[in-house]
Amino acid sequence: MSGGMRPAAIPRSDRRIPMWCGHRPGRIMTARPGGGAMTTEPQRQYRYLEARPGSNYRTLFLKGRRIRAAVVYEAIHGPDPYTPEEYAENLQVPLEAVLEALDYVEQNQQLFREERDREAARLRARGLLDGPPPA
Amino acid sequence: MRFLIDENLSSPRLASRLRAQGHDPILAADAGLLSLADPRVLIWAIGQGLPVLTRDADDFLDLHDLIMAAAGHHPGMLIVHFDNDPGHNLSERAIGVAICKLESSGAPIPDRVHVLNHWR
Repeated sequence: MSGGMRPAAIPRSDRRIPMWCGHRPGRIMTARPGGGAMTTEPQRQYRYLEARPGSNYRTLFLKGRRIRAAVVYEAIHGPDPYTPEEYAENLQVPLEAVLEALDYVEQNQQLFREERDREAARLRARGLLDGPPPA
Repeated sequence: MRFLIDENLSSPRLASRLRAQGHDPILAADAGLLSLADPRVLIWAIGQGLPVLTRDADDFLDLHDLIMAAAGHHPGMLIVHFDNDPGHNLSERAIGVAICKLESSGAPIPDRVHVLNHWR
């Protein structure tokens, strides 16, 4: 970590991504599950996040990095929390990238819950998650 | 234990805490492995004979299965799983403790996947 002055922490209430971060809400046409009428749903576009082809994780990663938005969120909200500024410095990415990842997770909590459940179910099915440690 | 910390856990703070617990971690950033695809990271770890500490269980399980299906070998995969129940999640210190417990148990590490939450 560099010895420079640390930026002031951003109050949680201010962590929403402002428009200067490059978000431009759009609308896309999607089909309802099971068929039926087409509908439009808002689709966020992200400046610092992208899907990672080839990964089993369907949620977005930091662009050009193998770091899921969920990992960013858990680093900020997990057992040993970093501030967004600390974590951005840690990853050597713009603070805006960290803030955008946090916002993306907060806006898609159900998707992330499902992804964590899917991973846990896969580990549990192999006996890797529950019960006494293997001998 | 000497092991590679994958990019998704790669943090000088975690590495420092693990070293204080007697481990010898290598950060993906220090090994020039940032942004590389998972298979390339694992190929590097296999070449160095180092287990990989990673957050991406779903992707590394596939690599493990592929290597085992081909009757191959790898130095081991150490998974940190984040759960919907925060009480199941590991702190940085708990990661180090779990690795100590795993190592001292004598459980085989090469060719195995270990979820460290299981060893807390």
